[in-house]
Amino acid sequence: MMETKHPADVDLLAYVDDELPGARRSELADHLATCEACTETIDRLHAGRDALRAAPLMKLPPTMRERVSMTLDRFGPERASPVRRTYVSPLRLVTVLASVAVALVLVVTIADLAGDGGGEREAGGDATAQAERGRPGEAGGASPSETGAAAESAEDEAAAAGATRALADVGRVAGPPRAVVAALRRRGLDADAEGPRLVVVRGASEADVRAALTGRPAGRVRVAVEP
Amino acid sequence: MPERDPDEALVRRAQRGDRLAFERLVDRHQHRLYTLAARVLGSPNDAADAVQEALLRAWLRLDRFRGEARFSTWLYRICVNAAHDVRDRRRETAGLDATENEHPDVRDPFAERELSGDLQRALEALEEPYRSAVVLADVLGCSYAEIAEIMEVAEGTVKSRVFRARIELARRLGTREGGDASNR
Repeated sequence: MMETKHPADVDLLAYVDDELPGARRSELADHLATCEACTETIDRLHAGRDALRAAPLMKLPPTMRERVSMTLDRFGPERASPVRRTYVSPLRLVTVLASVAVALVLVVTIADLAGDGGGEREAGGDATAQAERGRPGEAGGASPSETGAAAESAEDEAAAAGATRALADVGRVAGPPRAVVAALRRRGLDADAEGPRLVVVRGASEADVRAALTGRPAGRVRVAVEP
Repeated sequence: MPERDPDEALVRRAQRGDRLAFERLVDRHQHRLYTLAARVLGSPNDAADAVQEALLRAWLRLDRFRGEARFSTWLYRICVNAAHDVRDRRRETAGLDATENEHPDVRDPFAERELSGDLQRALEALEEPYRSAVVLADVLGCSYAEIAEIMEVAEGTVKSRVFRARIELARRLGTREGGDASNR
């Protein structure tokens, strides 16, 4: 029985994908034997599909894979679970050790300058603990030189002023602030730039803010939530 | 679900906060996510950003995954959305004054900025819903039902998109059967 009209696109697709039931498949094969236009369509469907199938899977470069783990460390939720384990990659280990070393050097230097040997051990303990914690309150990206007390600079008056307003730090991301604000507002958050290095979000949870900023590289713009 | 999700056990552990289990899921899916994002975006660096964003979103929202779909399907949906967000952000930041944009480029400086090759050019000539649909179908081997879940459209719409995308790809690559495998 010859078909008098062309099969539907969806049938041609199913034919190429080998998903047509037997009877329908033979019917369509009969049609193709006499229809040049449909045969050409079938050839194109095969060609388009095969070109993609022949393309190899692309490998995520190891540096990028490493970055994923570091991002998860930085922004990941604080899941209070007994089975929580932290994935410590070699690169991260080196970063943490470098931070600890810099913190210790700073502490020793400060203690030497102050001539107070008694305070050295205690201050060193704090700095080391802080470095090991990876400063979870800050969205990472802090260079080792920012890890110690020297990082408490007054470069950003607005940020310092913000600290007196009971703001909860979410992290530090790349700016400019208006781009950060735009990203947050796109997610429906009430955000404003308050100075060259501070963005304040009102009435949002830290988790929402983190989610809205995922993928934005670490930087110098402080993002904080005002309850 | 017709088949058991091979990721089920790891997902359950990760949902209880087991970060190592999630890292294993990342290892398992990283290259497919990267391929998806790279084929959709045409840029290895942007693709890496999208993958990072997708995996972070997945980790943060893992408790919302109910196992109604396969984990990979859920992950691909997040990845496609993340890729679109990255693309939108690139367009937005492209308009910013370069001196104001202090984004430090932490991405791989040795990665190609753009994917090259006839296949990628042909893909990029497709409008977006067609591109994602055909990449999911013919690069990642997703079923039409899965793609319908990922793209949140009817299965018939997916078939129509894949049909048009394959025809258009073949036209751009030349219609010889077997296709043109050059892609880089």
